[in-house]
Amino acid sequence: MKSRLWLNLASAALAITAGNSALFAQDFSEMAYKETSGKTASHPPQKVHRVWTDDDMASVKTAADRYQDQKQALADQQAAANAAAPAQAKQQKTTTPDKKVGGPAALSNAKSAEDADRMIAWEQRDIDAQAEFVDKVSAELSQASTQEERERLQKRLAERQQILEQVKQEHAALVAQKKELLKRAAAGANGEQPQGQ
Amino acid sequence: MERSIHRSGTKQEDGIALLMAIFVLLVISVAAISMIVASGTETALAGNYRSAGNAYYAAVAGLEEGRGRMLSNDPNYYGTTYFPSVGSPMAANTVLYILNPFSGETVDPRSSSSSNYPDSQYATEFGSSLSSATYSTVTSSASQASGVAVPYYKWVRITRVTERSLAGDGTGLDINGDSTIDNTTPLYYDSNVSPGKLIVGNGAACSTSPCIANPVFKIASFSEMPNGTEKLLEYTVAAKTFNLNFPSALTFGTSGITFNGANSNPYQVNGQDGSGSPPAVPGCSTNPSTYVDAIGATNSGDVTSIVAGIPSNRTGAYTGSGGTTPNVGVVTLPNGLATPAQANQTIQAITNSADLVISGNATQANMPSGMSATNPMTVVVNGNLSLTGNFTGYGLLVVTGNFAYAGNDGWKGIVLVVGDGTTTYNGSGGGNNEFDGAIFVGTLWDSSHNMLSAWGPTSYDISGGGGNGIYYNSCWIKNAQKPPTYQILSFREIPYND
Repeated sequence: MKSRLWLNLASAALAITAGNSALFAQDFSEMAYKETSGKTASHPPQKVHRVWTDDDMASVKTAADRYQDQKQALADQQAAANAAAPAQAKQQKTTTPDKKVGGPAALSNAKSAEDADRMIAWEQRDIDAQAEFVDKVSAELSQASTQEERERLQKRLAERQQILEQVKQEHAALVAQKKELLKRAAAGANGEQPQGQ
Repeated sequence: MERSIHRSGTKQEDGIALLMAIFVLLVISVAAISMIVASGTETALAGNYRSAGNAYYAAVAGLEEGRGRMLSNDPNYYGTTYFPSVGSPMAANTVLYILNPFSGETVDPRSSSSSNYPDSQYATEFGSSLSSATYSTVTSSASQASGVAVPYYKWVRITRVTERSLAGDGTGLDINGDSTIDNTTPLYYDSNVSPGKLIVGNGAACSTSPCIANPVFKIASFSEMPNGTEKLLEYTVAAKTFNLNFPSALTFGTSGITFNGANSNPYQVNGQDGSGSPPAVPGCSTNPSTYVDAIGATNSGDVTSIVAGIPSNRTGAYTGSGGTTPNVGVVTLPNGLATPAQANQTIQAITNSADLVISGNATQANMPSGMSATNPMTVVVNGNLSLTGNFTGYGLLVVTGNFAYAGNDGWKGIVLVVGDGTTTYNGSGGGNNEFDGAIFVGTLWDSSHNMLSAWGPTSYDISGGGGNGIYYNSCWIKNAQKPPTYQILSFREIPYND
C-alpha cells in the first residue's frame, strides 16, 4: 500500500517534470525567436521569396527553347527581308497606278456643263481643304523642335503640295472640259437653229 | 508483539503529509510558472505576427495605389509627365516615387539616413545609385485626415524592368537566352501567345508585327510600423489590353461587300506605319519601314469587289505592303476580331471599361468633352454615330450602327464599326482631317439582331470623301487601348536593408 503510494507520487512527479521540460524546451526556442523577432521583422531573411506565375515560368528558357527561338528569329529575318523587297517595289509603283483596275474614273469625263460644274465645285472644295492643310503643316514645320519631326513634316508637306497641284490640274482640266462642252453645246445649238429655220 | 510493531510503523510515517504537501505545492508552482512564461511568449509571438501582418498589408496598400494610379482613368493618374502612354516603357534610368510621410517625418528614398526610409534596394536591382537616376515624386493619395487609419507604407517606387532588375537580388535573369544580363533594354510582356511570355524589347522576339506587347513595370512598396517592423514587397506588372492588332489600315470582316471608294484625289488609305500627321504619342515611335495592307478583307471575292469599287484614277492612293496599287489584300483577322463571337466578347470587355457608353444614336455633341490627344478615351455607341464636321476624336470608338462622317472629321486611334457594318461619308469633297490608327468594319448580326456565326455582308460608301484618309499608325493603335487594369505578373517579398 505504502510502496504503491510512493510509486504513484513518483509517476506523477515524473509526468509533470517531463511535461514542464517539454514546455520549457518549446519556450526556449520561442523565446529565442522572441528575442530576435524584432530584428527579423526589421531585417527579413536574406533569401528572396520569388512567387512566379505560370506565365513567368514560361519565360525561363531551356536550351531547347533557345534553339527554337534562334530558329524562329532566323525565319523572321528571312521573312522580313522578303517583305522588304516588295515594299520597296511598291513605293516605286505607287507613282504609276495601274489604270486598268478599279471602277469608273472619278471627277472626270463630265457629260454636261452642269455635270462639270458639280465636279469643279467638288475639286474646288478639295483644293481649299488641301491648301488649308498645307498651311497647317507649314505652320507646324516652322515650330518643329526636333530634326526628326522636321523631316517628317517636310516629307508630309511635299506630298500634300504635290496632291494639291494634282487637284489643281484636275480642276483646270474640268474647267477646260466645261468650256469645251459649252462650246459644243453652243455649236450644236447654232447648228440646230438653221435646221429649224 | 504485533501491537509493538504497528506502533513503531506509525511513528516512522509521522510528517509524511507535510512532505507530500510541499512536493505537490512545488509541482504546482513549477507548472504555474511554466504557464505564465508560455503565455508571455505566446503574447509576444502574437504581437510580432500581428505587427508583421500589419506591415505586410500596409505595403500591399502601397502596391495597389502604385498599380491603380497607372490607369489614365484613375482620378489620381500620374499623368504623362511622370508615366508613359500605353505601350511605351518608362525611360531608362528613370524612377517615380509615391511618398507617404506622416506628419512631421521626412521620407526621402535617396537619403542615407535610416530615419528617412532610404531605398537601398534600387542600387541592388539596377546596379547604379539612385542619385544618378532621373527622380520624380508624387504624393500619396491616401487620406491624411484625422481619424482615418492611414496606411503605414512610406514609399512606392515605379521603374521599368530589365533582365538585371527582374530578379530583385541583382543577379538578373537571362530571358532571351543570349548569355547576357541586359540592364538597358526594357522587358515587354507578350500576351498574344499562350501562355504569355516576357521578351526583351519589342522587336523580333514579339509574336506580332508590329509588336503589340506591353512594357513591364516594377512596383516596390516599403512599409514600416511604429514598432519598427518593416516590409518591402514588389509587383511586376504589365498593361492588360484588348490586344487589338490590325493587318491593314482598313480591315473588313465580311462575306460580301459593297464598297465605294472616295472620288477625291487627296483621299488616301496608307498602310505605312506613321504615314499620317497625328499628334505624337509620348514615348512611342512609329516604324516607317513597317507596312501593312492599305485595305484587308478575308477572302479574294471581297478583295475583287473592293478593287472594283475604287475609281480607276484613284487606285494609286491605296498604298501599303503589297507591290501594286490599289493595295488590297486577303488578310487573317486578329485574335479578338476573328469571328463575330470573338468580336462580341471583345466589345463587351471594351464596354465594361469604356469612358462613355451611349445607348441609341449619337452625334459629335454626345462625345465626351474631356477627350483629347493627351487624354484618349473609349467611347461605345450602341446605335448610329453621325459626325457632321470639324470633329477629331482620340482613343477607341465602337459603333454598332452606321458610322457616318463628313467634312473635317477624323479620329486618332481605333474605330470599330461592328454591328450593322456600315460606314458612309456624307459629303462632296473637302475635308482634310485624318483617321490615324486603324478602322475595322464587320457585320455582327442579321436583320433580326441574331448573332451570325461568320461575318456578314458590309457596306462601305465613302464616295463623297474628301481628304479624310486612313493612315496606319501603330502608336495610336496602342494608345487607344486604355488598359482596364495592369495585370500582376509576379509578387514577392524581398529583404530590406536600411
